[in-house]
Amino acid sequence: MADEDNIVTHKLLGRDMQFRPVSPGQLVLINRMAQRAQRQVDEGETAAAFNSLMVKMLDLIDSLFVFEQDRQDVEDAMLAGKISLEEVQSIAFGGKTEPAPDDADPVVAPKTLRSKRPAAVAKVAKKTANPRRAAR
Amino acid sequence: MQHADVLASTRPNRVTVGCLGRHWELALSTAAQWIGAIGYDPDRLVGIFPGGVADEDLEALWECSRQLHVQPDRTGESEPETPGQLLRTQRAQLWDQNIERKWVNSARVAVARGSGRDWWWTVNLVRKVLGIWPYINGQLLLSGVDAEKLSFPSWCDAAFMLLWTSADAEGRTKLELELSMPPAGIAVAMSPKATKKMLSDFAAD
Repeated sequence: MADEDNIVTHKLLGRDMQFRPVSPGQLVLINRMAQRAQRQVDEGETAAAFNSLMVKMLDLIDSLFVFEQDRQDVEDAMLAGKISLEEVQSIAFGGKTEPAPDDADPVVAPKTLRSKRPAAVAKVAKKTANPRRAAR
Repeated sequence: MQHADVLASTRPNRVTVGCLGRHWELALSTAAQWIGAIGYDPDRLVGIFPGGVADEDLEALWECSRQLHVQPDRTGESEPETPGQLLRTQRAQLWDQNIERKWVNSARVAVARGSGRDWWWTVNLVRKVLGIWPYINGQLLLSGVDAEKLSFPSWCDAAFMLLWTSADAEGRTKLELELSMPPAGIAVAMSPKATKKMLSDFAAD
C-alpha cells in the first residue's frame, strides 16, 4: 500500500491504532462492488452477493492494519459483538463516523463566527443616531 | 486490419485497456460518463480505472489486483518473530503500492483511446470545462450538442471549438498552451523522430 510516511492513526476500541490509508482506487472498487451487490439483491438474487462483498471488505480492512495485534483485537471485538463492521469500516476508510446531514434541519453557523461590525461603520452609526453629535 | 477506418481505429466506440495480464472493457459510452469519470479524480483518474470497469469484471479485477508478487522484505529488518507477523507482512503486500501506479497508467491509456487525443490534453480540457460547466454545457446544448448523447471524442471536438472560437488570438494561444501542458512531474514518451524535431527546433531558436 502506502509507504510508512503515510501511516495514519485512528482511535478504535479506546486506543490509538495505526492504519495504512486506503487508496482512492480501492475505495472506488469496493464501492462499485457494493452497488452491484445491492442491485443483485434488489433483483431477487440470494445474499451470496453480499456475503462475497463482506469477505472482500474484511480483506481490505485487514490489509490496512499496521500491527497484527491491533487487527486481531478488532477481529475478536467484532466476533464478540463489541464493535460493528460498519464502525470499523468507517474508521479504517475515513477516520471518523459522521452522521448523515439532515436536510430538514440544516446546520446553523455558530455565533462565534459572526464578524464584528467594522469600527468605521460603528462610528458612523453612532454619529447618525445622535443628531446633535452629527451636526458638529 | 479489423477497421480500415482511421476514425474507428482512433476513436473506438468501446475502449479496452490491458492491465494485470488481461484486457478490460470500460463501461463508458457517452461523453457525460467520461467527463464524470475523469472529473471524479482528475489526478489519479480512478473514475476511469478501476471505476469505469464493467460490472461483470469487478470481481476479476479485485482478484487480479490482489494476486501480486510478494516482494521480499528489503529493509533489512529482523525476521518476523511469529507466523502471525509473517502473515501480516505477506497480507499487506498483497495490496502493493504498485497497484495504484498500474491503475493510473491504465486509466491514462484509456482516456487517450477514449478521446482520440493525448490523455493530458483531454484531462486538461475536462478540468477547464468542469470549472465553467453551466456556461459550456449551456452553450453546447443550445447548439444541439448534448454530452448525454454524444460520443466523447465528438464532444471534445465541440467543447474545444467553443472555447477556441470565443477567444481572441492571444486567448487561443493560451488555450493551446494550457491544454498541451502535461501535469508536473509527468514524463511524456516521445518517438525518436519527435525528439529529433524538438532538438532541431530548439537549435534553430
